[in-house]
Amino acid sequence: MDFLNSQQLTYQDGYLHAFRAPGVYEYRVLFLPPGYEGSEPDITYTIHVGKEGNEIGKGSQHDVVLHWNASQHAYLPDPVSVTAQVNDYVIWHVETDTSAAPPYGIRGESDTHTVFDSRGMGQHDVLTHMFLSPGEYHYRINEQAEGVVLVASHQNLPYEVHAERAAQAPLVHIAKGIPNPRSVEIVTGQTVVWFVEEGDHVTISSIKEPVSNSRH
Amino acid sequence: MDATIAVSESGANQLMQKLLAGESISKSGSSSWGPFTVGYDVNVALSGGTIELIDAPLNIVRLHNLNIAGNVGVFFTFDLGQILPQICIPPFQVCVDIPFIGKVCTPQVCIPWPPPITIPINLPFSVNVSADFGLSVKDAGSAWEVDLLVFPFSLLIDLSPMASVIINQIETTVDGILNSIPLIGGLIAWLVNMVLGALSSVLSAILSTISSFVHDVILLLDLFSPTIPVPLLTFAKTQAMLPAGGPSDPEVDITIAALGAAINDHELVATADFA
Repeated sequence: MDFLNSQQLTYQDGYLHAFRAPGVYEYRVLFLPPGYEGSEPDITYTIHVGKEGNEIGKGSQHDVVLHWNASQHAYLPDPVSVTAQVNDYVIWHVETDTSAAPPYGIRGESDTHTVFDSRGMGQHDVLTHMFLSPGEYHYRINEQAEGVVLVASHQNLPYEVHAERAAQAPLVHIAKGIPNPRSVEIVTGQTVVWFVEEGDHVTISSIKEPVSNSRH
Repeated sequence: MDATIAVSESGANQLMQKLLAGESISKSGSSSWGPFTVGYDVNVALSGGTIELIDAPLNIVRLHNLNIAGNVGVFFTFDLGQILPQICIPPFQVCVDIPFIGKVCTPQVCIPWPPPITIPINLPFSVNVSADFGLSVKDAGSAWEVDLLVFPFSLLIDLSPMASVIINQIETTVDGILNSIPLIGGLIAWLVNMVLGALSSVLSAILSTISSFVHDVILLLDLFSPTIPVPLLTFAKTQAMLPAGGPSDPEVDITIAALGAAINDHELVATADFA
């Protein structure tokens, strides 16, 4: 069964943050909950954000791929540093040849304060999750409002039908802790995108073991 | 004074069947060929056969069509990650327009292959052989034995016809694993063929090794040892001639001082000299 938790990202997840202000941001790849940063390796990576960006909604995407290095017990980002412009956005995701790579979080800071943290998403942050196992995934936003993702198995679908559905990524808006739409139906191999339209310190986590489901 | 006991071919058959019932063996082994680690458990038992008694001076007990049968439990263990390339899905870009952000293309997910899988496969085998045995008499302390000692014989164990069984089982298992991964439908047959291609390059070596192992295990049976005589008939040295008649009339025993064995007129003849 899939592991769905925005506070502990896996190779099935992506985390996106849009940069609204120019500056130099240092981010870390973390394994522990907020408050335990002192116990984590103090290795930071840099994102340079210039002021010559496009208007909001017209930025460019920058991908940072995290490669798991078992001998160092660390995720190594590629590229090591990013140069972007205002209103551009960075999406972090993992590539690994072992499913044993641990869940992680991304936390970024400016000179003065924490600017973004995947373990508590801010406004306009985005979580993506590709569902690989069928089932009913009930989840909560901030341990309060509930939503559900109904994932049907691809195994009875012709490949063409499967691919056509997988080309669509349903978008769930989160405003004031409420997901909209509350229910999404997909097939395995499809990605759901949660967008924090309004809110702060937003977490998304499944609330019980998914029910095994042979929906078609 | 002497006595003679004659055992016909039919009687010798019965003695042989009793001997065969006690002859069985099990052994295990393992080895690796490239990405494949193969464990094998062999069980062997003997049955059937018909005795032909060949007269002196040859004195040969010939066993026709003895059935050597058993099973090899084979365990194939391999890591798909050592054979297959990494596959990332979907094989096309998926993008979505997000307000206040822009067009976001969601990441591909590169599928980590599962931990090493182990596939058990049973390979039954059965072969009929004929073997000649020489006769000898052995002083076994409190008894005399008429023993058989095998002459070298040809034994061929060839499991190569079982290759298709192995390939089918591995193909079915790998196909099942790959089918559980979404969006690789068009690749599954290709990926299965990659595994089978890796397997086929070592399969004949694997089967040859297992065949040799089975052959060697069979030859560990006492019946097939050229150095370990196997008793066919046993006579206690002390034989009761007259039973006891009472406290003052004890049992009268006689002792077999020497024993000879030969085949005459297709009968196994044991001649006992009494002391």
